[in-house]
This record gives sequence, structure tokens and C-alpha cells, in this order.
Amino acid sequence: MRSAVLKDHKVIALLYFFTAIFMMFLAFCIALMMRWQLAYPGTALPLTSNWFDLSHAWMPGGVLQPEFYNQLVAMHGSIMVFFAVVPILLGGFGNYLVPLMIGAPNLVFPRISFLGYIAYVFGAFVVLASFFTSGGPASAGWTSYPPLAVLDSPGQTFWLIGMMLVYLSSLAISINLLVTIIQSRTHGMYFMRMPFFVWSQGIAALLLLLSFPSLAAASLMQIMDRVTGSSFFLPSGLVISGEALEVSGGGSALLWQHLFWFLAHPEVYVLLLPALGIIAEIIPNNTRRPLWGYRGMVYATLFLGIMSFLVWAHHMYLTNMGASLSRFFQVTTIIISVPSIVIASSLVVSLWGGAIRFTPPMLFALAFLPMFGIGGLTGLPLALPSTNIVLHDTFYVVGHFHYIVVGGTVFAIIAGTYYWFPKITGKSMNGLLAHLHFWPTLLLVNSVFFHMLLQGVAGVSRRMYDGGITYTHGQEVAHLHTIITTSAYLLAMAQIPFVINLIHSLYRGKKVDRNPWHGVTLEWIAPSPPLRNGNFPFPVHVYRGPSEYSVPGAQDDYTPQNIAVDSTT
Amino acid sequence: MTQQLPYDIHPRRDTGQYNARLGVWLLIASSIMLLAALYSGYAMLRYTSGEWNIYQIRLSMTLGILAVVLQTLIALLSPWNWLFARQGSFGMVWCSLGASVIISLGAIFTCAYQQHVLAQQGFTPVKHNFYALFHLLTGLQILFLIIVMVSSIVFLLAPGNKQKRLMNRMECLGIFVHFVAVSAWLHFTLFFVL
Repeated sequence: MRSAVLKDHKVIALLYFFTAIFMMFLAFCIALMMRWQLAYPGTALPLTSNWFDLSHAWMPGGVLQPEFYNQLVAMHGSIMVFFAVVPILLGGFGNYLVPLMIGAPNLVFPRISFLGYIAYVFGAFVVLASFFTSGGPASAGWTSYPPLAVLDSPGQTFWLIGMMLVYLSSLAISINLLVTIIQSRTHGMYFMRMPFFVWSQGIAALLLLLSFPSLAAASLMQIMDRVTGSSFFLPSGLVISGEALEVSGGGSALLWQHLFWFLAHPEVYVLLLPALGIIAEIIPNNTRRPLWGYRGMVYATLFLGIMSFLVWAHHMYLTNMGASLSRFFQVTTIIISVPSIVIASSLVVSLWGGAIRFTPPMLFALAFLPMFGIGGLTGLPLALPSTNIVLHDTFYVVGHFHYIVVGGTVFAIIAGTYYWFPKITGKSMNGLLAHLHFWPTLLLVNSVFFHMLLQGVAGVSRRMYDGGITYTHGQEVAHLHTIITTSAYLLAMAQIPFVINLIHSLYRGKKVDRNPWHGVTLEWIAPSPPLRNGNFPFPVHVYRGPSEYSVPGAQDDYTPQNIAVDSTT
Repeated sequence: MTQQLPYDIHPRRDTGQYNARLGVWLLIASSIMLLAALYSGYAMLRYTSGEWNIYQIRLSMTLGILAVVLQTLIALLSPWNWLFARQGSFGMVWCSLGASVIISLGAIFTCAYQQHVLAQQGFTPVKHNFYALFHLLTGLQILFLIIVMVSSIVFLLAPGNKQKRLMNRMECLGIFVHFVAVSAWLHFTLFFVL
């Protein structure tokens, strides 16, 4: 019985979801610690002066030490990207919803999916265990650039092993999602009848499948460098603290950067595409209009997926790669903005003329659009080498990236949680608490990240442990650190209504029927929650497209995909 | 109502694939990207290295050829596994798979022995990136062979010999084994020939 439960895609998805939420919570706490240090350098972090032994080495008297700050920076990025956001989007939302939306009874390889989850948990455990090693966790940033990373504390080896385990997990997720989408579509569910969410998950899975091996290979090579003493990433003649490093040399630090970014740029789209998929389900449902330009969005997403493999070196303009190569990557990066704009524009146009319902998921979906817009547009100056060289090491990059990931992806995750919570639990969430959650969150996210953009434009470096108090160049905007940090702490508090809402609704929420939002995709014809074995109590046939709202002549303003064409009226 | 997973055994008409075969092809696609990343490293390191070919003389050509021959043999055996499964000759499938396991073990031993001989002579990854790459890629080859061997053992011992399911398993194993053989040839070409 127990093994049958662990072979259910919904159980595996929820395991991914809750583990990733826990990891996201940890990474957020790490961010708060970093923010305190930047705003109040050398001041004890509140409530931490009596922490257990760890704090004596790294935070004597509650004051963050520079080495520990670097480690926190590395762990925040690594945990957020590899152990929180991607697992929530693909492991959580993807594993739960894709089989439901295509009318499949389960993932095609549920055992492999569960093994993938085990690999993910082990990976997370290994990375977190590095906090307890001598020297602490990895400190070379989430990008782990050599030579620094190769010469880092033993925690870096833990980080690399963690990446290998995440690769196995990603492999399990992506193969499962792709084969499920291609093979398990129910009768009549042609590719162009699939919800855009399924397309976004499929293409994200393909990106993960083909790009993650690059980091796995690089991690293997860096493990070799650290454990066996090879020099894949160590050039000849390296001098550390005035002494020549005794290695064979001949390696290339740039090799790591190429291999890393060949993964990490497509990874950005792995973070983004499923988020767009979530928003593309919520907007038509709440405007009661079909998704505008569905086919265009699908083709744009396919093109975006292909192009994402051709832009990686725009993260490496500072490496003096040469004008020709810079020009190539500049052009490809500008080209990739075109499909992104097609998708964003389709979502905005979908609002036009709709009878918008301002439900909690729709609030976050609406907020997603300008956040994603700001994130995307602030990326354009970074695509050009001439402006990138000036902005690259500043807080501008941090602001840009977080507008995409927090204002974009995390908003979509929250929107998706509000939207599908009734399906998953059979209960509805509280609207008042949702509003108490949404408005402060929207305000504070902007307060945190917009000020970072301002600091970046003023030239404040993003790599300074003291927030730049000794840095003459950025004094005029140094006070913004306090605003950012205060906003970040308030942002944490703004999530309390969300947590209360989740727990309260789970136990005391009003019971709902199978289709509380009057949706049209197949998950809404399954019971709430869906059946443990097989999801649907009856065979499912699909007769129409994925967003048939307000069909002329139809009785209701929504026509589910399983309603035959001749029975519309 | 419990629903069975569709296309678990029989192919879907519009895609022409059953689930496991498509899964194996995707696994191979990812493995190819893994090898491509490592071979990119090979190309970049070799391009920036002053000397390279002089390190080849330390490799044992005999062991190199033996490793390739053994891995090719496993690939040659794989169609027989499938054919015997198709004929319903489960005893022959058992023999053929058993032979695959033994040859895989031989190939693993040969690869590991290559590394051992080099290491004993002091040509460890510390010495030069040529050896570091050789040890790394040979290690990966061993990993692929272990996957083949373990899969063969699992299929040998797996309960139920439903003919169609067994044929599918043999086919999937055969596809992966051919990938391993091709990677062995590439490995040999890069380190012993070029």
C-alpha cells in the first residue's frame, strides 16, 4: 500500500513541493542575514549572539565574519536555484499537473520519479551538511568559479557532489515529464490542444535534460581537481599569497565558465517558462477569454528554448573573449528577447476586453506581468558588452535577476498555489488573508529590488561584505541598503498571512467541488483531490482547445476540453 | 477506477514508441551532452596544451584495443538477446544475457586495469591533464559498463517473462549498449589514435 502511494505522481509532487519550500525558507533566511550585514556592517544580528557553537567561529557575538558572508552568498544562490525554485516548478507543479492536464493516470515512470526525489533530498542534505564541515560550506559563489573554487574549503566538494545528485534528480524529472507528455496524452489531446502550461513544462524539461549534463561534467572535472590533484581548471604559474601553486597546470579557468553557463543560462528559462505556463492558465480563467495567440506563444517558447543554448557567453563579457565572439553573443541575446516579448505581449493582450475577476491567483498573475517586464527590460543593457562591462559587478545585476526570479517566478509559484490549492486539497483559501498577503508583498518586493537597480546604476559593487561603506564611489546611495534590508525583513513578515492561510484552509477551508474556478483544462474535471489511482473516475476524451472561455452560443462562459463540440449549446 | 499506464508495452500509434524506448533515447541524449561537455574540455585543454601526443606512449595499446573489442562484443550480442526474446527462447535469452554480464565484467576489469597500470607507473591525474582526462573518461566508461551489467542482471532475475515485455527490455538495453560501444570507440580514437 505504502509503495503504491509513493508511485503516485501527486504524492511525489507534494514531496518535492514541501521539501523545496523548506529549502526556499532556508535560503530566504540566509538572504536576511546577508542583508543585515550589508545595512548594518559589523553589528550583531538580532537574536543570534547566543547561538550554538557554529556562531562562535563564523559569527562571534552575532557579527557576521567576511568568510561566512561569502559562504552565505554562495549558499543562498545555490539553494534557491538548484534546490528550491526548479524543484518546485518541475518537481512540484510539473509532476502534479502535467499528467492531470493531459488526461493521463500517472507519470510514465513513477518509480524513477521517486528515486529522483531521493537523489534530490540527498543532494540537499549533502549541501546543507557542508555547514558542519571544517571550513564551512562553499564560498566561491553559486557559480563556483575556479581557481577560487578549486582551492576552497572541503565544503566545495560537498557542493559539487550535491550538484551531481541534483543532475540525477533533474534527469528523472525531465525524462518523466517528456515521455509522459509525448506518450500519455489521452484521446483527442493533440499537441496543439495541450494547455500552454504543459508546453512550458515540456520545453523546460528538454532544456534541463540537455543542459544539466554540462554542469555535471564540469563538476566531475572540478571534483578531480580537488580530490586527485589534476589541473583541469588551474592554469600554469598560479601564485597564491606570494607562493607558486604546486600543480601541473595547463588548465583553463574559462573552461569552467563555459561549461557552467551552458547549463546556467538555459536554467534561467527553466525557472521562467513554467512560471509563464502558470500565468497563462490563470489569466484566461480570470478574464473568461481565450488565451490570445496560443499558437504564437507555443512557437515562441520552442524558439526561445532553442535559442537559450546559444547565449551562454553573455555572462562572460568580462573575460575578454574578443570583439567577434562578444558580437555573436550580443546578437543572439537580443534575438532571444523577441520570443520573450511575444509571450509577454500575448499575456497582456489576453486581458483586453475581458471581464476580469480579481481573485488571489489573478492578483499575483497581474503583478507578474510588470515584474517580468521590469526584469526583462533591465536585462537588455546587460546583453550589450559596452554597458554590461560597466554594470556587471554592480547591484544592478542582482536587482535585474531578482525581478525575474522573485517578481516573476516566485509570484507565479504563489499564484499557482492559490489557483490549484482547491484542486489539491478540495478546500478553498481565505480571500481576505490572500489580500493581506498580496499587497504588502507587491510593495515590498519592489522596495527591495528597485533600490538595488538604483544602487547598481550608481556603481555600487555587489561583492562587498560591508555594503560599500568604505567605497567612496557609492556613498550617495549607500543609505538605500537600510531601506532594502528593512523591506526584506518586512517582506518575510508579509508571508505570515500566506502561511496562516495555507494551514487554516487545509483544516478549516470551505469545501469546494471539482471545478471551483470554472476552468476548462482537464484537471478541473477530476475530483478534488484527484483519485489516488488514475486521477479520473471515467475515461477522458478531448474535443477542443485548452482555453475555450465564452464560446459564442455556449450555455456557460466556460467549455471544458472534454465537452464534445456538438454538445456546446 | 484504477487506470493502467498507457503504452507501457505496446507502441503508441502516432509516435511509434512505447514509453521505455523513448525514455532510453532521452537518457542517451542527456548522456551524449555529458560526453560532449567532457570532449569540449578535451578539445580546449588539448588546444591550449603545448605537448599532447608524447603522453600517449604510456598507454597500453593492447589493453585499449581489448577494452574496445569487449564493449563492441556486448553491442553485437544485444540483437541476439532481442531475437531470442522474440522467438520465445527464454533459456537462450538467459544464456545470451549471462554472456553480456560476463563480458561487461571483463571490460570493466580491462578499463580499471588500464588505469591501475598507468597509476603504478606514476602517470596519475596530477602528472598532466592528458592523464587526468584519460582517467576521468575511462572512469565514466566503467560507469556506463556498470549500468549495462546491473541492468542485465536485473533483467535476468526480473520476475515474469512475458514475451513482449522481455523483447522491449532487450531492445532498450541494446540501444543503450550501442551508445556505450560508440563512446568506447570515441574514447579509443581520442586517446590512442589522434
